[in-house]
Amino acid sequence: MPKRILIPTDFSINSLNILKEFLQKDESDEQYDVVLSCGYYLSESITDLLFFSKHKILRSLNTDAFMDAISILRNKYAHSLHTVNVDLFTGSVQSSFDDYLEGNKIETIVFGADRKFTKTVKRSFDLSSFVQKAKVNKIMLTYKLREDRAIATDDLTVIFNTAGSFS
Amino acid sequence: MTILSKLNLKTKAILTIFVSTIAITSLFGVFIYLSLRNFVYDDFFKTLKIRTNVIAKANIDGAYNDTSFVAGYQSVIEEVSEKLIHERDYILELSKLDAKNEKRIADSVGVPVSFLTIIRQNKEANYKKGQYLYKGILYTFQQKNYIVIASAESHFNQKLISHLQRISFIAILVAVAIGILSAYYISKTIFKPISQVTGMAKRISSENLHLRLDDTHYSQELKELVRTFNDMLSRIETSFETQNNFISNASHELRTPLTSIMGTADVTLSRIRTPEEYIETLQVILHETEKLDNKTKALLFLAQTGFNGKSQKFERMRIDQLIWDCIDTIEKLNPEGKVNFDTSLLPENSTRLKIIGNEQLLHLAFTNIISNACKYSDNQVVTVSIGSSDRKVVIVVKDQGIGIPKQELGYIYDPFFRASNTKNYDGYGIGLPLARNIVKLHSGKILVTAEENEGTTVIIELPLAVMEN
Repeated sequence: MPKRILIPTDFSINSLNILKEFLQKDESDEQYDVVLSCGYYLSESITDLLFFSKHKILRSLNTDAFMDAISILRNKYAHSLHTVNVDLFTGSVQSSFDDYLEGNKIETIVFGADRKFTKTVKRSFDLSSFVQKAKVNKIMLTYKLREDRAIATDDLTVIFNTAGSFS
Repeated sequence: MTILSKLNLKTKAILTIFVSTIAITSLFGVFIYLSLRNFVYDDFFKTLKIRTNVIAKANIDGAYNDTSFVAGYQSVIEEVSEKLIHERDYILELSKLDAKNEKRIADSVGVPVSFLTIIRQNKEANYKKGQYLYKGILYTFQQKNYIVIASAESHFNQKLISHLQRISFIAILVAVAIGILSAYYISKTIFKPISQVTGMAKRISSENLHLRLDDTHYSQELKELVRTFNDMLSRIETSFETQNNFISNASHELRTPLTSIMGTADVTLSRIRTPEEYIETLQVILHETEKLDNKTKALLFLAQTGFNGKSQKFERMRIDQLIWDCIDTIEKLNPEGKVNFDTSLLPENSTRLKIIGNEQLLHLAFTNIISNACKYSDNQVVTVSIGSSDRKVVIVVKDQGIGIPKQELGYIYDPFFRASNTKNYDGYGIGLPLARNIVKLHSGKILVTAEENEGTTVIIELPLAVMEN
């Protein structure tokens, strides 16, 4: 039975480095179902809610480079990465986040100590304040995300070289 | 035939259109004329038949009826029915006709004897002599048989022909007009673009092989042609650059050890030296010669592409193996260069590393890119990373060298272009255009990002071989 873990993301390739770091450090034979989740404020407009489609929003958020980066990681960690899904959290209070975790059967949240959230779309928001108070198992990685210069969210090179000699 | 083959395609096409429009129009005219003539004759014979009936009624039945009966039919002949030109009517009593006078009577009417025979057999007959049409029927009244013949000149025929002549003249005029229009259209849409393409193609010579034809505003077929032509240019350019690349590499890589050998020998020979010194000198020379040998081998290996006479085969190969080979070659060519192959994202499944490609060409491309990275970063560590998604392999070559000025990034693929900050480095500006052409031949993508004095990153994406499972 794969373990389900949640990783907050902002749909930048840089945020996938948390997943990479986690899998690199992981020495167990565990398999993981990874949910990459991002906060998303729902619109107040009734028509927007009526035609709300999570898939449509996810499609607009996912760049090709982001999907490529995910599949690069999936190919690299084929033995331990069972599935990688991208999801939106559309709630606004802590209890709905707890419900969201329960509903998705999340056992562990993995997040970086050094958080840097880029708003890729207007309505997205950082999940870290909810993550702090969540009652599930949490793993904080003391891993420094690269921020030497402004990195485009779809710069595929970001996923390479991070553990390398220079950053 | 010889004249036809000398004409160019444009004239041929226009002539064909001309001739065929006029031929079709004339054929149409002839067909219409014939069918119309038949129709008109049928119609005229019908009129004559009605006339024979009326005449029979008025003259044969009339003999036994009162004058008002006859007057009624006479008025039909004179007032109601059509006026016929040179009308002549005959009533012959069949019983008075015999073999002896038949010929004479027929002559006086102006018909052959067979006409009368057919009337007797079929009860009616048509006959046509010049402009005159004859219609004869067998009419029976009070057990007596009569042959009634009506004849008249067909005025339709003359009118019809002159009318048809007029119409076909107009039709041919219209056909010529249509022919001119379509010839104009054809020359505009087909032949003009072709001559444009020819003009563009003429401008491309060995000096500006990197130029490509523009295929945006052409029809589908021409686009295909232009694209094929462009592909061919890419291949030619690649092989051209391969040769140039070899020459530039050879002159650059071989000169250094040769200079060193010559210098050492020269200095040693300047005066008499001790045996130890000679030994040392010879060792230096041996060492340099070994280096030279290695370099020559590596260069010859690179140069084999396009020179070995074999066709360039595209086959299934592993990209990581290729990169290891490239790094090996670079270490031979430039022992000071440090290349770090980052395999931290190497996929577990080796099928994700298989691409369809030409090993020698790709070897050349990667060697160029990686050795450029070494050269322009003064032998600082160059990182080559590899990763593969479900569709493609991504190879990132990253250095910490001099980079490329932002405003010059647009020109880096032009052959012989060298960025303004490369004055201190040998080179001819061939490697990157060559690499890009090779990657393009493999339907891949190459992307260069750079910061001046910070480093250059080259991202190469190559499509994976289609998986068979």
